[in-house]
Amino acid sequence: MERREAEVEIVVEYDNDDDAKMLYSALLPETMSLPTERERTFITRKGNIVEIRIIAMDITALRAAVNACLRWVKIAEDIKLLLVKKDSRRD
Amino acid sequence: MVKEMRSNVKVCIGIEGTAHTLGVGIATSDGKILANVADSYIPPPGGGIHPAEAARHHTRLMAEVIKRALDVAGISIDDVDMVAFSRGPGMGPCLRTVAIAARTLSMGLGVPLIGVNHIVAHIEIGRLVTGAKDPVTLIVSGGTTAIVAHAKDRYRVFGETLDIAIGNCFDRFAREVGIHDPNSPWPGPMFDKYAERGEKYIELPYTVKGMDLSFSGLLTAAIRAVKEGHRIEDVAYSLQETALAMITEVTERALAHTGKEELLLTGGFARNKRLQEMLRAMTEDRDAKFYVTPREYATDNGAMIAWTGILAYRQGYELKVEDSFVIQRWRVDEVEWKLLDPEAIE
Repeated sequence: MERREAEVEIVVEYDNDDDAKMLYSALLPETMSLPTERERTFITRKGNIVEIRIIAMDITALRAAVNACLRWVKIAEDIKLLLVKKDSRRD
Repeated sequence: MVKEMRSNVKVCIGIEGTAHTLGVGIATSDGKILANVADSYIPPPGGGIHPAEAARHHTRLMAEVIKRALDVAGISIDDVDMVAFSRGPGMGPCLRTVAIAARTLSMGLGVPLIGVNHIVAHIEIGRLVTGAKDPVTLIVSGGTTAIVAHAKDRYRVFGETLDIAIGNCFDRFAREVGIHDPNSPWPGPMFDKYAERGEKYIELPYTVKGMDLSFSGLLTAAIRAVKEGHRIEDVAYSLQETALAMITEVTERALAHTGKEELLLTGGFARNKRLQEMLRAMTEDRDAKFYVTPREYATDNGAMIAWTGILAYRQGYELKVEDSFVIQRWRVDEVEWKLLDPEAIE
């Protein structure tokens, strides 16, 4: 039977390179040690844009990987908001 | 006041998230716990922890729990000098969620990042809050049953379960025989009630292999005993007596072998009164001191990660962000670790 792969690309665009660097660095170690061989996640950064590409052997694995990845982005964003609040408090 | 302290005292924020509990603690390098806040994922009644669901819970509440911890401590995020996180062992999705939060926090604040071994952290917070110096530690919880003591350059495992953990054994028994409380996700308290009402001891397999323990055969035999018509109360009581006697035996032998004179009890299962009773009797016979870690610090918590982060930082365990991948299987004896005296740390 032919094995077909499924693929999703998540693109996160920021106003500046620093925010993109932070997301890229926070997520990178997770893409190097994935728990299953059914999917692979690749993350790259070009300036202010972070691209996450997920390739999976089946839709179930793809869905799980996309959900995990979106969770990771959300948590990094939530933490950054805590830091932003700190800066605004200082003013 | 915090600003004055900063010249020599360091503030560490610690994030725990190896399983169902998301905990954030704040500790100072002079051994003060400024905050210890937690929020736990509650599994559906009668079910166990689903790792991805627990990770979703941690994601949703991470920022809020951090904020609550900072409020309790009365500090702002820029007072934090280092960020520690539970790097393993634990459930992959939970560990990753915590690691990403910790990395982002560390990079955003420009402060060191420290990965902490969850088991080392259980022992270290127990030592800090009870005052035990160099104990044999019995760690008992839903996922762990281990007898650990420091020897030479690390914490070493002197005995452990070969299959399931003690907490898991009792939980599964309760679920299998249908005595869980529909209004509570955790069967432990219900199990305790049944075990207390037991009157007749039923012989069950007592499995100690060398210094190690095995509970799965015992669990199967206990479930079979209920199916054969024995009262659940009597079986629960017999299961408890047998399993806890096994643990007490191995713990006593670890004390005898190491020659240590202190026993520290910790982990979520440490609250079990019968276990405390048996260990107290055993340590009294041996003239050893017995320390029970208070519940707040015995269950999974953020303070233990924050405090152990400080100890790890003192030993040079700062991580580069790119090397800070999580370690799902990370034995306590893989970590080279010095036994530092909390009072001797600045």
